[in-house]
Amino acid sequence: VKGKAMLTRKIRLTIALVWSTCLGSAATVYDVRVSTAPLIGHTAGPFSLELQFNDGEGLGDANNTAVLSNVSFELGQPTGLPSVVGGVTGDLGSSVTMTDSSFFNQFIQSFNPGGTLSFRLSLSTNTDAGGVPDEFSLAILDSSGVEIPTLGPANALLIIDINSPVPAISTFPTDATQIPNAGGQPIDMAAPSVSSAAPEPASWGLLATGLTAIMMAARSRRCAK
Amino acid sequence: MTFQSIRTLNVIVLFATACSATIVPSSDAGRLRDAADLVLVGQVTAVLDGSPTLLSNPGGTISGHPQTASILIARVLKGSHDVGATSITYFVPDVPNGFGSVAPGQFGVFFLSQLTDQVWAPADPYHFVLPALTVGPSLGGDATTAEVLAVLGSSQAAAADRTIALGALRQVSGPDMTAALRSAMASTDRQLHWSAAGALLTRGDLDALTSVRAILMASLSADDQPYVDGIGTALRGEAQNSQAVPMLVAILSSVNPEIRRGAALAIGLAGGATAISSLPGSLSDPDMLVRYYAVVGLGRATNQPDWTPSLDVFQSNEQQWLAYWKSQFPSCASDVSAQFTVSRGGFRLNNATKRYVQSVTVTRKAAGATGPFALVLDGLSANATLFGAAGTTACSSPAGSPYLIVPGAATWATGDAVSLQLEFVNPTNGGIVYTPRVLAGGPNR
Repeated sequence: VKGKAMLTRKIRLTIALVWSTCLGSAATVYDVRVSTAPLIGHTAGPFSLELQFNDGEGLGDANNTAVLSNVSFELGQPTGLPSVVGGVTGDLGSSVTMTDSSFFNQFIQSFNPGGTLSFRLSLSTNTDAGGVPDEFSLAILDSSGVEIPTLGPANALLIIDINSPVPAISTFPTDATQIPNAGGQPIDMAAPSVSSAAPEPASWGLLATGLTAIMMAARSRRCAK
Repeated sequence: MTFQSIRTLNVIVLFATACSATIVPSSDAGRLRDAADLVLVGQVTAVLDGSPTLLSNPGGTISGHPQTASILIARVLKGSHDVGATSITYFVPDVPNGFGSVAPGQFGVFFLSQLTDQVWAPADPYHFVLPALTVGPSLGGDATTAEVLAVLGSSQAAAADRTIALGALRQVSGPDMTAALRSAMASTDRQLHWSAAGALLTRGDLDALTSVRAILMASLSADDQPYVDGIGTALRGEAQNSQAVPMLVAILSSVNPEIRRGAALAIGLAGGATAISSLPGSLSDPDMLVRYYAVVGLGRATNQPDWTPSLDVFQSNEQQWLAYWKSQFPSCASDVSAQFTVSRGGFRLNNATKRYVQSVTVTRKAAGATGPFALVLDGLSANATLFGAAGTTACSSPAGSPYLIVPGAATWATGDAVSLQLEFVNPTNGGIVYTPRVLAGGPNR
């Protein structure tokens, strides 16, 4: 009985270890929604989705990635080909992977707006040395290639500073008093909503593998006895 | 020889020694070695108390009793004695007066004077034993010094023994001593740590200054506070060390007034251009003694004895002296980075301005200097320039760094924060790297 209790305790400890390891190594996953309805028919269009993923350390250390997937423009759609600078691959049809392999990494994709732009963002969270975090940011550019005015730094709608395993997220609405650079009326758009999503499938797979291995090990021990 | 006769002889010797020992002498190992007829390393195996008696000296009669300690000899360092055992008799006063004594099991270097062929007494009643290691040292040079030095440099030795060893080696220099002191500075024992740091600073050891700089800049724990005065004093030893001057200037902004006093005094003693460039900022220091040392240092550096008051004269009309020196040297801002936390966000390119934007929050974490405050970007990447910089440093080293004035009141409470948006012109999109620094005062930065 004592041996069984000890085995149970070991299994519990191992499960806890595997669980914490899985969570620690999994990317942080967010579901992001931007209400783009105010852009429909606006004279400052066509608009573009602009993403930046810049290296805090300034070296292009490539220690973090941001992956966009499940991109939906609702009734809208992307138009033309994306424009990229630095460590960016992929497209919105499948997924876009951004790596901070250069100081400046940028993805721009023009689109016809629908009611909502939504996507899943999977972000690794390795902290840079030197006190300046890698930063993921999102903005919407008007037809002149300039961000529509927001209340955020550099007219960003969303900023995520990877300064800890649980990064700081900042969202900002548009500045409803400022006329876009390309003209037309000021745009009144709410701040994006960002919610934490469940761990991505790869993480679940890792967890399931670990648990299966533990169960098999426990069973083999019982059989041996 | 009977115990009574030993006691009698020893009392005579002790009397003669005590007559000239109205001030407790140092435990300097070299002095003890020179004073001793016999220096040996060994272990006390037993201690035997004698009958109560009186010891006469010029200050009066001291009551106490003799003790005789048996010593198992391990090594003889000076003089001659058969390897084996010996004994030493010394006087233990009822009221402690600094006289030394030993305990069974104690291992050390014993400094002895010969009374007769078989009778040994302390060469110095205050200090006649210093700690030693059971395994003989491998260091060269003087054997006595090597024994004690081995204790100081041994992480296995007790911190109390290492501290005693350090006190006995104050006059010793050289690479072995430096190595032992650095080892001692790594100790977790606060007294040993700070004593070793102070000894290294006194020797002008730049590595020590580098090592303790971060500690000196930060708020000290209550455990460390008692030792700060000693460090402040030790900093004065850096006055003639030209390599240490930049460190001393940095330490002028320590949150510890005792440290700032030591740095200000050392810079003042060093004199020259460094004093002229760095001490004006200390004229506005919240600590009166720092302000005084700044005045004295500037008077010395500019050869103006008429404007170099004594402390009591300075205190009687401080504003007069400060006003004069401030008029001579329009204030140069001082580095108060230790009193602030600068938290930096990431970078984003603003497509409208083509400038990179970075959010920075400056938070006051310790009280001290008053503003205006400036955020300085030292070592900014050559590919980037700070947009809207208020200027570049010329007065506060390092020179040539761009800075911004931090908006807000001149006096911040601890915990108050101000957020800034820094903008960088960076046409090549190269990395942007810099080290933030906070300056207080002005107008010169």
